[in-house]
This record gives sequence, structure tokens and C-alpha cells, in this order.
Amino acid sequence: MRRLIYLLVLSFLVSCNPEKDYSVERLIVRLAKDPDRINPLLHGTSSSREVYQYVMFMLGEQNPITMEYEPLLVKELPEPILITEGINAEKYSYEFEILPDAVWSDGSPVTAEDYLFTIKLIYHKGLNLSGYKTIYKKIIDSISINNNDPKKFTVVTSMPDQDNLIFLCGVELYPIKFYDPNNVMAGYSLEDLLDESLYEDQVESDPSLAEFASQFQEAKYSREVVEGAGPYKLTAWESDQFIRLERKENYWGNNYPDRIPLQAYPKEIIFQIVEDDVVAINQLSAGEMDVATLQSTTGERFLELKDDEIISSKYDFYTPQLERYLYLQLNNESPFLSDKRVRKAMAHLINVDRLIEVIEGGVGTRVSSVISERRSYYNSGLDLLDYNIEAAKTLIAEAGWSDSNGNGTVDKMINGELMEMQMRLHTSSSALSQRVSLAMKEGAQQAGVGIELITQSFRITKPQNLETGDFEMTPMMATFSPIENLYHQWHSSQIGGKGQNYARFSKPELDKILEELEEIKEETKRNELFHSAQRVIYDEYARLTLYAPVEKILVSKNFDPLITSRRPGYIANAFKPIE
Amino acid sequence: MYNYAFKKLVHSLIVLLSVISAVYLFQSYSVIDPVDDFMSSSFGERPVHKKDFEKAYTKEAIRQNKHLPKFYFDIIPSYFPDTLHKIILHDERSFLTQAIRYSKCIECSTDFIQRQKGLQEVGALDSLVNIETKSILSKISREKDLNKLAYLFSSLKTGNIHDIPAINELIESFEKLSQVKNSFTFPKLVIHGFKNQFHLFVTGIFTGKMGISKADGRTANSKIIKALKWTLSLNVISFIIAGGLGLFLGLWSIKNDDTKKEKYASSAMFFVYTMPVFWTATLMVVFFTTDRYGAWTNIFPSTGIKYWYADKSVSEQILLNFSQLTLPIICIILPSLAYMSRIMKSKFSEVLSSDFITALKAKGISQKRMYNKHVLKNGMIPYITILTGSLPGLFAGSLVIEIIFSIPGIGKLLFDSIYISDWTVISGLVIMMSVVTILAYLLADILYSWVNPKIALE
Repeated sequence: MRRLIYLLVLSFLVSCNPEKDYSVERLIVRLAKDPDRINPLLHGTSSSREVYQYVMFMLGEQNPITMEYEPLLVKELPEPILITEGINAEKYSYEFEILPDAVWSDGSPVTAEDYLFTIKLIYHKGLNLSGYKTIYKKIIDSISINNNDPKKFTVVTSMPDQDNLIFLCGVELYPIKFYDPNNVMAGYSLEDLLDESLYEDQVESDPSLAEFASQFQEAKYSREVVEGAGPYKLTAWESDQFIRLERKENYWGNNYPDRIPLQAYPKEIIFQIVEDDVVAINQLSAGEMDVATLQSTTGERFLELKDDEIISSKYDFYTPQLERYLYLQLNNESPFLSDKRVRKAMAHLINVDRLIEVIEGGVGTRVSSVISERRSYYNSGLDLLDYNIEAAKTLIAEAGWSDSNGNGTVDKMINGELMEMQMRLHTSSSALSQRVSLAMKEGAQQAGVGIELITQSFRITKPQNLETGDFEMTPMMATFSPIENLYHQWHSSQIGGKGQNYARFSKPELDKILEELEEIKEETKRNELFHSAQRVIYDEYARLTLYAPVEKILVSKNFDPLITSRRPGYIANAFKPIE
Repeated sequence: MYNYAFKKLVHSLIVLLSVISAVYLFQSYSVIDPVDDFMSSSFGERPVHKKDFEKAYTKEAIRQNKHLPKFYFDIIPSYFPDTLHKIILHDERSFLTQAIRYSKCIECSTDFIQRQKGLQEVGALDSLVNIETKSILSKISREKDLNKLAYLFSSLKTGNIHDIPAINELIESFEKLSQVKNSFTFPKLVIHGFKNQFHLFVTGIFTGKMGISKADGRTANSKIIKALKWTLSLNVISFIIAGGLGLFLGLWSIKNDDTKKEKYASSAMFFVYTMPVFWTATLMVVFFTTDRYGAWTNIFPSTGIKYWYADKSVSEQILLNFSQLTLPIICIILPSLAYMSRIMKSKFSEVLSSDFITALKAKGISQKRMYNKHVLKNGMIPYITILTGSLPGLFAGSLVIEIIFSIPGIGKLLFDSIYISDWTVISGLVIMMSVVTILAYLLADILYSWVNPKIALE
């Protein structure tokens, strides 16, 4: 009897031994957060994009290696043609032709109607896509579909620059068949949808339009129907566990091997959702993942992992630099920071080079502008400030702050009251925020500036502090967008309420520039305005830009990866298995 | 008996309504504006332009019934308006409430807010030359805190603005607002009827329409049911194993009382019982899921459930994921097993020292018959109590275990929902747990009275 029990226990343990699957057909990718919804127009979050970039495609996209803009679903990127006669005279047209073999997952062709439908979604008043709408309304004058060839269409615009072409191509195409099975949107033209009064009437007379909007926002079209022209299709999604993409059979994109997004080496891409880096490292030790980005792991710990025999025997290490940067959000209206000299002093008090050393393992680039240096309108004349305690002390003294009572903290008489410079720094509990906040606190202390760290979730900080202006500083991360719109974050009309000018920065000079940027279409003039806007923000030290961090990525030695500076730092569909 | 059951049922309903009311209160007075929060997480982008934002906000507020009064009635000061709930924008409503409370004057408050809004109009401050004054007025135009407004008005140098009537009127309006009236006013009762937020919340619960989760747009019901499947599978398996083994170990201990092996087993059980479950679970994950401590320790797969079985039915998934569930099940079983075997041993020992057992022994009854027919039967009462007491726990999930082993059950769902303040799901879970707990106790009470009618009479 006893032997039998031992035998049973032994066989149980043997059966439990996991079949750690090293199959090169399956690529297991760590995803740090469940995307919750996949619908690019409504939920273009980074974790969502990490998944849908293999399922849904745009007309064109940045090449992940050269970073040049290239055609994807179209034959080639069109050049603008000047229209010389007719109602559109002196405007420009872009003539697009969708690839002849491009089809949706059910085999039906990708057509110009699908593009038109996507733009109609943006214009739909019942969907809150005003950000997209503002841009597309400005760029697109009309879209006409070729009567003889449903794959060809022409977009007429009065703004023929490169940025606008990127916008025209830069929206994921939604197949009408899957997202509008009742063909509701076919009954409305772009003009109908743009007509404000007409829309209100239509909702009353034809509730199907409003019904369509509410259905499109339902979970069904963000979790069940996720359709596109990409090489993979969504086949399973268990919340907070995994998302499985499977390669389409006989994928049409195989005819275009040079177009990287159309490649599909792994048969399956499994996104395993693991929120905690420590758990992810544990799974890497067990060899249960092929690709993992360690977001909250410090540079020092990352270097330690490189020396770890178990991990380094299974994985290669990569550190691409992505299009984003870390900064300290300042409240320019705070009594402490309303003086430009104090803001500049704070910039002198944070040791950014040391932060890069500790957090990024020495890899990372300091940033002085709110616009990426890759943009043509980047202002390269903005110098980086040194870590300089003495310079900071001088600036603080010039602003009228001194330690009059000898308690170690500088103070000043404001409205008849002695005010100690004791600022609050709201930080989340993430390792990155905490380290940046501590660095700021340490530096500030040396210049007699007191900083109290308040650790709370960003979800609380945003409504309670950022939106109400009840804060002094908070560390934040910003993404450099391919086409910057500074209006939302810097125009004085966006201060308070639900506006996004959390810096509460208001300068008529900048307002004027931003208003002109909203109107002016000519590229050289726009570049000049962008230069001036960056200069104003920089000269006023309205935001303390710190550095562009690197991504810390581990890739299984079983794959030949494609690493890029495009988010998330790799292109999973192009991972070639090593035989 | 029926009378007793009816009374208990009424008590249970009162408890349930109290829980629902408490959930509603917490939800209603959360610091986060639920409408804005839902818009931020569910609609993609938030409209930038004020008019668009207000339209979208109003639409969502109506969907969430936020345009209705909070309860069936209100007891408010007599100077308060009855229809404050009709102001849909959260910030506007709270500022007006603040102003009325402060000034006890509806006209002064609305007049000041209207004038303040006027200052936000494009070009309202264009004629001002002094930049400092312009900046202060710009802050005044958007400030929603009366103390801060008082400070801003006091720092305004009026010399620069005498010639602008709109600003002078605003200053006068604020002065009027600031004249605090200390007169006593009687409270008044305002009846709102059934069209109120609480009523719709309660009817929503009883009709199974809890609402939509802001996290992913799925209904709270569907999320809870899906999570419940995993929690129930994990806990029911653990419950059966722990229950069976606990009884067996208790019986074994009493049979082998005072022997060396029983003493070793008791010490081991005590040790297991004192180990915190999060510690046991973490150790198990660290030691038994990787080959960091030798290849032989890599027995179980890592945390989470397996993805390649996603298209199978739930029962198939549970069977196929059994190796993933083994460690969590062990972690749940260990402390309950130790507890149950100790309780059973003490009860059996109590039964063994009873007079009727001595009498049976004197009659010459066989040991096997004595244990199976008399000791076991009489010792079962606390066993049943423990088992029924554990029923709510089967549904509530094991928070720590589910988080450490990344099992998508009720505990993890609750944790994730609290983390993002997903009130719809939190409310659903709290109410579901309350219902199960109330039903379990109701069942236990009725069973006790059925077994022992004296309880009902008492």
C-alpha cells in the first residue's frame, strides 16, 4: 500500500513537469499590461498598439529600421498633384492605389470604401474622436473613389506637405463588413457627417446613426471583432493572462517580402500578460518567454541579469532608445515656481547624468526640447543645463528667497507672511518615478529647498492635483508624436477644468504662436513657429525635460530579432527562428 | 419552524439592503468623478474643446443616471435649491453648492458664477494692459475654490481696471457673495420619488443589470461569472481535499494519540498552520517553477493559466490546466488541513471521554464499530459547522493566492478593479459576496433549527 502511494506521488510529480515549449513556431512575448480593448481609433494605448500592430494595418508606416515613411497597404506613397481646373483648382490631389492582392481575413478585398468608412468613423459626431477630427477635417477636402477600380481613390487637400501625407496614411483601416455589417455609414457622406446641425437632426430622424456609434463603442468591437489586413488574427484573449494571435493561412502579404510589417515568421504570437518585472524575470529564468521588456527594472539590475548565467545562456540583451522622454511637470502658477529663476534653479538641481547612469545603466540621452530631435522642426539651439548647486543657489537668491531664520530652508515674505520654500512632489509608486523624485529632493535640499514626496497613484494625482493646480511638481513620461500638436498642452485656454495644460503655463506670446500653428499651412513658416514655440517653453523653464530612456529588452537566443526605436522596441512578426 | 425561517429571511434582506446602501454611498462619494473617469478610460480621447466636452459629458452622465437626485428625498437648508442635481457638469455643480453653502444666497451665487464664466469668453480681457492684473483675472476666471478666489481678489490692484464695467461688476458680485449670513434657517424636506440614482442602482442589482466595467466595456456580470469559474474550481477542489483529508487526519490522530508518529505529525501540522500563506506561496513559486536551484526543482509550470487551451470549454481548461493549479491548491489546502485536523482531533477526544462511550466499551463493542458508528457521527457537528462556514469563502476567492499565482479569479478581479476604481465591478463583487455569506448563514441557521428545534424556540 505504502509503495503504491509513493508510486502515485512520483507519477503525479512527473506529470506536472511542464512541457516548456521551445517551439520556434510560437513566439511568447511579455506584455506588461492587459490592453483591455483593441480598437485603434478609440483606444490607441501603447499596450493595445503592441497587439493590434500585427492585426490592423494603415496605408503607410515608418520603416522600423530606416525610420523612413513607406507604403504598406498601397502600391506606393503618392506625390501631390496640383489641380489646375474645376472646383478644386489650386488644391492638390493624392492618388492612392491599394495593393491588388490585399484582402481581409475572410478573403474579401481591401477597398477604397474601407478607407472612406474609416474616415467617416473619425467624423462621426457620436464617437468622441475630436482630436483626430480636428486634424483630418483640416487636411481632407474630399475623397473620391474611382468608378472603374474600387482599389483606387483620390484625396483632395489644400495642404500638400509630408506631415499631411503621414496623416492620410496613418490610420488603421477598418473593414466595413466586420465593423458596420448593416452598412449604416454608407447612407452618409463625409459632408453630411461634418454638418453639425444636420447631425443633430439625423440622430432624431434616423436613430441608426446614434445606435451605430454606441454599438461601435461596445466591448464587442474592442474584444471580439478585431479585424484587419495584417498577417495575424486574434484567436484568444483571456483577460490579464494572455492574448493569442495566429498567422493567417496563405497570407497575401507573402508576395511582398520586403515590407517588414507584412512578414510573418512565427506561426503564433502569444502575449503573456505579466505585470510585475520580478515575476517576468522568474519566467525568463524558466525559459518560458521569448521576448520581454523590463520596464521598471533599473539599469544596474539589468546589468546584473547580463551576468546571470542561467538568463544570459538563454537570452540576448538589447537597449533601443524609443521616441519618448521623461520630465518633471511643474506648476508654473505655484507661488514657489511662478518665478522663472526658481524654475531654472530647479533644473540645475537635478543630476540627470547620474539618473541616466543609475536607472538606464549609462545608456540614455538628455533632452532639452519638448519635440524630438528627429523632427525637421526640432530646435537644436537649446542647451542642456548642468547640475550646478551654486548656480541654483544664486538664482534662488536673485528671486528673493533666503534662509532668514536659519532653519536650513529658504524663505520669503509673501503678502506679509513668511513663506518657507517647502514644495510638494507628487509621485507614483513606480521605481522610475520614485528614483527621479528622490534625485530632485536630494539636489533641492542642498540649495535649501524643501521637498515633500507624496506617493499616490497617478489616477488620484490627475484629478486632484494636476487638473486643479494643487501641486508643485510631478514626474511624467511623454511620447514624441510623429506630428506634434503643442496646442493641447501649452495654450492658456487649456489651463484648468479638463484642459491638458497641467503646467498652467500662460504666455500670450506662446498662445499666439500656437494659434498661428493651428491655421498656417505653409511648411517653412510652420517650422519657424515650431522653433519659436520650443524656444519660449525652454527659456521659461516651463517644464523640466530630463532624458529619453532606453527600453531594456531580452530576446531568446532561439530567434533572430528585429530591434527598432519604434515602440515597443522590437517587431515580433519579423523574428526569424534560428534552426 | 416556518416562522423562524421567515424571520431569518427578513433579517437577511435587511442586512443585504444595508450592504447595498453602503456600497452605493461609497460609490457616490468617491473623490473621482465617475462620468469623467469613464470617459477617460472608455471613449479613447477626451474632447479638447469645451463645448464638445460638455456634450459628451452630458451624454455619459445621463447614461449613468447622474442627472437624477441621489436618493428618494433630501433634507436640505431652506435656502438651498431643490434642483441642484440638474446641473450635470460635476465641477459646476460642486462650485455652485460651495458658493450657496457659503453665502446662503442662490441669486448671489449664480450671479457670480455667470460673471466669472463671462470672463472666460474669448477676448474678455483683451482691453487690459497690465499683465499682472490680466494674469490674476485669468486665474479668477477658472478658479473653483472660494478661499483661493478671496486671495486672488485681495491681490487684485483695482486701480488698473476701473474703466472696465464687467470686471468691476464681478468684484462687486464676489463682495456680495462673501457677505456671510449667520441667520438660522430650518431644514426642508424635498421628495424626489422613485426616479433617483439609488432606486435605479438597487433595481439594477435585482434585475441583474449592474452596468458596464470601465476597464474593458464588458458587463460587470459577465466579468464576475467568468472569474467565478476559476475561483470555484480552485476552491472547490481545495475544499474537498482539505475536508476529506482533515477528517481522515483527525481520526488518525485520535487513534494514534500519544504515539511518536502522531506527535511528529502534530508538530508538522502546527508548523504549517503558522506559516503565512503569501510566504508559502512565494517560496513555492521561487523553488518549484524554475531550475535556478537545480533542475530537479523545476517541477511545476510558472504562474498563470496556459494559453494554448483557450478555445476549449471551461471544464476542459481546468483539467488541462491542472498542473498550473496544483501549487495554488496546495497552498490553500495546507493551512485549512492543519486547522481542520486539530479541530477534529479535539472533538473526537471529547466524544471519546463521554459517558456513553465508556458505556459502549463496557458493553464490549468492537473498536471499529465504536469509531465508525458513534465517535465519527457525534464528532461531525463541528465539522459541518466549519464546512458551511467556509462556503462564502469558496465564492470570495483567495486574494493572495490568486494574485501570486496569477489566477484570473474573483480575488484578482476585485484587486484589479479596486486598483483602477472600477466601481461597477467592485459593487457587483461586494454584493455577490454579501448575498453568498447571507445565504450561507441563513442555511446554517435553518439547518441548526431543523437538527435541534430548541434553537428555533430560543
